[in-house]
Amino acid sequence: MAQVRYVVEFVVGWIKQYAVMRGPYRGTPEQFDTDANIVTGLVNLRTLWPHVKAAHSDTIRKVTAWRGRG
Amino acid sequence: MGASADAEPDAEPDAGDGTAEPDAEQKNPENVSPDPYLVNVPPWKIFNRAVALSYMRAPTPAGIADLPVSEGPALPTFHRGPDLCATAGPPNTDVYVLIDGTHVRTDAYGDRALNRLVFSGKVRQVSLDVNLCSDPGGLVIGKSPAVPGSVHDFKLLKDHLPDFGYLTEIMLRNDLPEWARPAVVVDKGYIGIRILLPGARIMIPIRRGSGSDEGGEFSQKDRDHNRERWPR
Repeated sequence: MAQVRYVVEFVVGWIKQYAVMRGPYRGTPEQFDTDANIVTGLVNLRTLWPHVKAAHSDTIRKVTAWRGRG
Repeated sequence: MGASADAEPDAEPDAGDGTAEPDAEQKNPENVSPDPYLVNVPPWKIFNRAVALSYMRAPTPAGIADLPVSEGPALPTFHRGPDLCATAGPPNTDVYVLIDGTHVRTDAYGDRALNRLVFSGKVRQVSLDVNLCSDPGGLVIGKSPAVPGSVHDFKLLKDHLPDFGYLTEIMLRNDLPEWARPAVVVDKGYIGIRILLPGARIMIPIRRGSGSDEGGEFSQKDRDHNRERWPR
């Protein structure tokens, strides 16, 4: 079972990479919920990024065209 | 001079009547019917709904069903998640979710009585407690609101069960077959979850016995039980 459960520990570690989740948090619990939702979304985006990049490669190319890298 | 010469070729494709107008019509949000699955849904919950629908193998709208199972980055021995987009095949028994909690340290309040309510005796600090629910691929599919650190993880799960993603709703539906309902993998902090989720498939380790006959270690019966729960 430990061979499966370590995944969620990794997720907690990815969330803790963000300073707002690492603490000490100076704010209300309501503000913390908002911040945690944002951080969770960023972690999800980072997890799904290879697939998002593959699915929307054309859009990403258009958006980043101004950098001159295609 | 050189700049103006470069600007003219760029302006010509925009002025073309054959290609610019259809693209503009397609991108106009008024002409596109809103996706009922994505209206008024927070962006971070879109992935949750996609995963839940894929787990149920229900007909999903185009685009959502094409989302693949997440794979954790930079994990050489990462456990490959189930094939969520599979439409046929044997029952998938590897569908499960993982729940775990974490503490985030906060500043102490000025009120001593308030600090006592927020203080966590386990981590020995004033903190906020959050529970997370993730899929085998490392995708966060549910998050509980922050509560004072003195609240136990299991109480947090009991009070805020609907916040743990759509999979928790599916796992309680007894009309679905067992293979369609995801299992819940938790640690020993959630002992008693079988009473909270009757009918759900729970995978929880056995609490180590404190009796002198067991010597503080698992008995052979418990080892066999754990092996049956999760054969590897």
